[in-house]
Amino acid sequence: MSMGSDAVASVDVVGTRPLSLFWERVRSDKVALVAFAFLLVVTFSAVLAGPITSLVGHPPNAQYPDRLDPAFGTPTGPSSEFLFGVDPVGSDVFARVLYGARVSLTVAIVGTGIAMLIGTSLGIVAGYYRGVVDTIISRTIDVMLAFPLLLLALGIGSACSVGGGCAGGLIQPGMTTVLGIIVLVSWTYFARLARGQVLSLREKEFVEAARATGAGDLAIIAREILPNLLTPVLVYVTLVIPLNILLEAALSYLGVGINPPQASWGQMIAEATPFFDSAWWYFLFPGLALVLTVLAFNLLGEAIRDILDPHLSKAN
Amino acid sequence: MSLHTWRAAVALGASFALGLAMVGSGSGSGANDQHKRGGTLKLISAGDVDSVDPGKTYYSMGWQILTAVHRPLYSIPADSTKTLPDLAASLPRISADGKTVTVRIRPGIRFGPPVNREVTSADVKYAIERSFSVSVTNGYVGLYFSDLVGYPAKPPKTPKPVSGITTPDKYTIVFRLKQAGTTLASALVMTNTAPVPKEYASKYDQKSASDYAFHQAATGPYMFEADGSGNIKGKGYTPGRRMRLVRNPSWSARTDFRPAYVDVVEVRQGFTDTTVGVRQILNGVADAASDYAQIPAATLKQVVTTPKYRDNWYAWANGIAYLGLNTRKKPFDNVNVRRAVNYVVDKNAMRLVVGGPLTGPIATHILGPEFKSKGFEAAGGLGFDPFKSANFAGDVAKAKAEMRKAGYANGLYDGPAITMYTFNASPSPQAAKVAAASLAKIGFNVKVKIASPDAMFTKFCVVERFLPEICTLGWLPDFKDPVTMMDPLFSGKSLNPNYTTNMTGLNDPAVNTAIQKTKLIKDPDARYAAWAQIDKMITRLAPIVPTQWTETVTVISDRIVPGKQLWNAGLVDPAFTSIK
Amino acid sequence: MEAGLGGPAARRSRFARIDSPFVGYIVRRIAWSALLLVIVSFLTFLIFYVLPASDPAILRAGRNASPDLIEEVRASLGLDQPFYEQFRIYAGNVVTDFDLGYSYYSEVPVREEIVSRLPASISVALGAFILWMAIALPVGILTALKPRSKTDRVVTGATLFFLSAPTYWLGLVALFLFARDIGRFPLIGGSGTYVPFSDDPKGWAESLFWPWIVLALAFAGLYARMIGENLREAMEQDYVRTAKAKGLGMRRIVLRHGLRAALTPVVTLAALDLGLLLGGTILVETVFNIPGVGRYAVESIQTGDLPAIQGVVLFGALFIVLAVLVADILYAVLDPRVRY
Repeated sequence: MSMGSDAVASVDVVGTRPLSLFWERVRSDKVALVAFAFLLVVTFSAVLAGPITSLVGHPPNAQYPDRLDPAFGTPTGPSSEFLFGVDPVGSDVFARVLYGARVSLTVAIVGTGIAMLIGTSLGIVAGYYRGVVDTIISRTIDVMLAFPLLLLALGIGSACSVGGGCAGGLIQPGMTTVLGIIVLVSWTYFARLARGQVLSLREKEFVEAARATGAGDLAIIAREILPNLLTPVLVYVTLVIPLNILLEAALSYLGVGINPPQASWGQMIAEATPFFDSAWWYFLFPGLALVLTVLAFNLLGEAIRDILDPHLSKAN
Repeated sequence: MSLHTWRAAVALGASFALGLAMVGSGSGSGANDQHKRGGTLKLISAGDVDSVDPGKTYYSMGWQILTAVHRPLYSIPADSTKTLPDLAASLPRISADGKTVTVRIRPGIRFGPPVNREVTSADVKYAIERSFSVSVTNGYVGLYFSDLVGYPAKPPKTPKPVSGITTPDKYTIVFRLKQAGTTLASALVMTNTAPVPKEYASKYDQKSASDYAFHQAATGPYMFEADGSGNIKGKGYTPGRRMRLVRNPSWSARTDFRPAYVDVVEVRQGFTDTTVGVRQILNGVADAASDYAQIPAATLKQVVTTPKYRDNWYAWANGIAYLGLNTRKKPFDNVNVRRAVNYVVDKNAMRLVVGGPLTGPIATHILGPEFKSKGFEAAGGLGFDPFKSANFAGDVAKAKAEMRKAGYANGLYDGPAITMYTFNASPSPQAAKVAAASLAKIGFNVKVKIASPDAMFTKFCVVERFLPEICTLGWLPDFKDPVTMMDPLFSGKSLNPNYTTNMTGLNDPAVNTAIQKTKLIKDPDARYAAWAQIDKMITRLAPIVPTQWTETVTVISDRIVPGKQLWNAGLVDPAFTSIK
Repeated sequence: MEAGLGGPAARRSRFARIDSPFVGYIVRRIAWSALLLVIVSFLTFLIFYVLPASDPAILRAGRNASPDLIEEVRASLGLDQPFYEQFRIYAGNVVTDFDLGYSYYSEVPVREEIVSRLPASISVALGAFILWMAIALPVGILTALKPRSKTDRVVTGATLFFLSAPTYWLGLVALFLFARDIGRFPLIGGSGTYVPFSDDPKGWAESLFWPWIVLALAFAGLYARMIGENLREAMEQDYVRTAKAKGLGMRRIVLRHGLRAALTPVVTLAALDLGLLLGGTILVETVFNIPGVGRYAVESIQTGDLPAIQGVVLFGALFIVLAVLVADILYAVLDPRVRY
């Protein structure tokens, strides 16, 4: 889905708001609060998955064949012992959903974070120095955006999720592959954004002034440009995180993301597909977890966008 | 055992004894065995055949279809296990020294349009020769035909004559072998012995990849629907989409044991969701499946436990599923470690996640019930289990004892993590997970890696440098002779760094010698007994963990009276099946 | 908005001259698009050459082939040639007769495989597109006319929900609840029942019902909001207020002035999204078992069928590049503020 990035890049940056005002605004938006609270719950579940499952569940990779139909081996549904039922090998779905949160959150935060750092840096360099460097980076972005990205992700994921991984064993199947793909696919958004912002910023008076006083490039970037980038980049982060969670789920669903026995919501949905008309719990619960988490990020993102810059959400 | 007893036993949750219930008899069609002529048989499949070229086809789906279109020298009719002369007029005559095999073919068999002439022995000679070439690329000729005098050391780019095959007259073909053996004679059931007219096929075979498949001439009761020039593309065969067989006007029922009841056979491909396919069959939209992708347990349960579908399914034994242990890689170079693994694997749980007892009895050695009177009983039948455990759930104590013998002080493995490769199609990943959990009980940290079947069979479980410690594998016999199990899987001669079917790397001198000697034994019963001894020998060396003697469940519609290819996983035989 | 007031005459003369900057712009964009495709093709070749999942020579040689046979096949497929040589041959074939090579897996020309699956993918993408526009337009207009109303909130909420749900999961839920053969409330359609339009139009529509809905839902909400916001902004413009003061009916105002302005960015975005959609309806085809290009892509990646992968990626890139080109041109035509 396109992000209207061109439209965003051409909007003037209003400036940052003090943090306290920001939090006040968040607190008044009820929907945002609920979303934020939900995300806290998800985070706690992910972090405390171990203790929680030892209290109300079972270890996520332990198998309980007695929970399978003795004649056909089909899994059984929710019960008092297994809140979300069991999966086809008899593992506790509840536990796996909790552990799956780890994957989604890691991917979201770490993956998007790295993409943001790399993309923003490259964008700044392209926008500030222009010339050959700009041409190279911009053209690279164009090429990347011409690729059918899911296909590319699928292809690389497929190749790297087999055997010893790729890039000389640096990228192993599983989490590293997924993170690598996410970075590869997302950095362009940030680069384009940063470049556009820097292009308009560098003509502004305060930058001219800084240059007139003899400040070095690095100082100018650090002091004048970066602070003004904070808002739009943050807005983009709120947009990209949910997209990346969905990307990881899609890759795992297609079999090239997280490998078993590590739990991932997308992979659980994939495993549940042949059973979907009988073992409904196995696709419902991971799916709900996925939808609600992504929704929470989206809602929170909407709220943040509304607060930081009302123009941005409209133009998007 | 009748079908009803089988179901009752399943309901009681009995386990391995059921395996013997090879429900081969008519699936409840009961008294009405009268076959009507006419109608269209509608088959569906998930994937496509590997090829429709009779010189190349190597997978069950291809054989199922092509045996209705082509007549090899010998073949096995439906609902039977006896090999009958097909294109041949009589059984092969083997010379006293065992080095010459002579076959007479029936006169009066004709090629269908557009060739329309009588089949001669030269056509069989050409058919076999072309299967040795790169243009045709056949996967099994190396196994079964390499003993021929003149067998090319390097495969020729296009078909070249082979001196060891001669045709003294137009109905006789003679095979001369470098050494005495029975393998070639048994392999004359393969479809590459079905005749191919040289003057018509050459122009297609001269290409770097022959496309004779799309212009093939039929000798069986059916042919691929073709246009005037004989091209079947788009009419009789649209790759990946559909096939359509119509009656071959040149075929004569008098010369064939095939009844050929139906008028048309249609195959629709692309039903990758087996559950959807099964539903279509139960609804009568389709009649049967043309390949046997594993039916998911939930669907299986629905079919088997619904009374009105009682007569819509049957199971047939076919092949073995096992864990291959790489004997050339630590720690499985140590026989005690391998024996420990054989003790600890919970075969019962593995079978349960695959679908339960209906998917076949638990295997305890190599030759399973499908080799009834061909080595199964002689190898001890179901009673021979060197690694017994209660209810097949595994015996951790005995496993640990073996580990101690291997030098691991407290019976637990303490080395680095090991890798297990398995298929990406359900239920393989589940079965692999169960196996990994069993191995964890003796200290193994197993990393389960998932790969597509193509990646498994072209790289990870066949190419030496990529072989992991464990592969979950299966093997289907090409024809019902133990040589098709033992030789490719356990003989040192099958080892090759670039491609091997002997994933475990077993290269035991005693086993190798025994295999080579047994291939030369002429008397069938003596030979089968010898194979049984080799089975026991190999099982004790524990290069594999046999998990199941797999049974395929075939679902059929109410419309048909099936003829079952018992030699081919019980698939429906188009030339023997009729519409009610 | 200035050019809009200028009228048709001014527009014609701006575009018609052959040496006008506009034509030059188009030519440059086309040239860049072509170059882009070459680069994408090259990179794909490189990536899948370096990271193959399975061995194509063994795939083609078949199960259990002898090592000699495999080597011969490797040579005949040209796989023993150096990388750049292989690419040069491939690129040459593509450019001269659109020959995308032969699939390693099925020995059928890749072009044929893709073309035969194209109708299914186009059915899915176009149908969804029409459906989501058909929903988005009236809903968008409605929310523009009644801002901040309940409708607005509901649309926003629904949009976000469907944007957050993966298509394959929604597909499973739809099938579970409503599939004709196994759903809890049997209604329509089922997985794997796709038939081409030419075979059975009713069955075709039925099998695509849920795929269309699942795909359209997310986009519909998004576009409804976009149209609504743009329309609202357009209606706050001075000339609209003038028209209102003049007493022109609301309907006329909306349709004549507001929509045209509002739809400009939407149309260009739609071109882009459609291009992306056509580029690969991978997930929808997988869960609903539709034999389209997207599913073919997944299958070929899983089997490591390099020519097929190449073909599909090239194909997807073509659609994306075309869509971007069309969008850029549309933008240049419709919005005179764009400089070129």
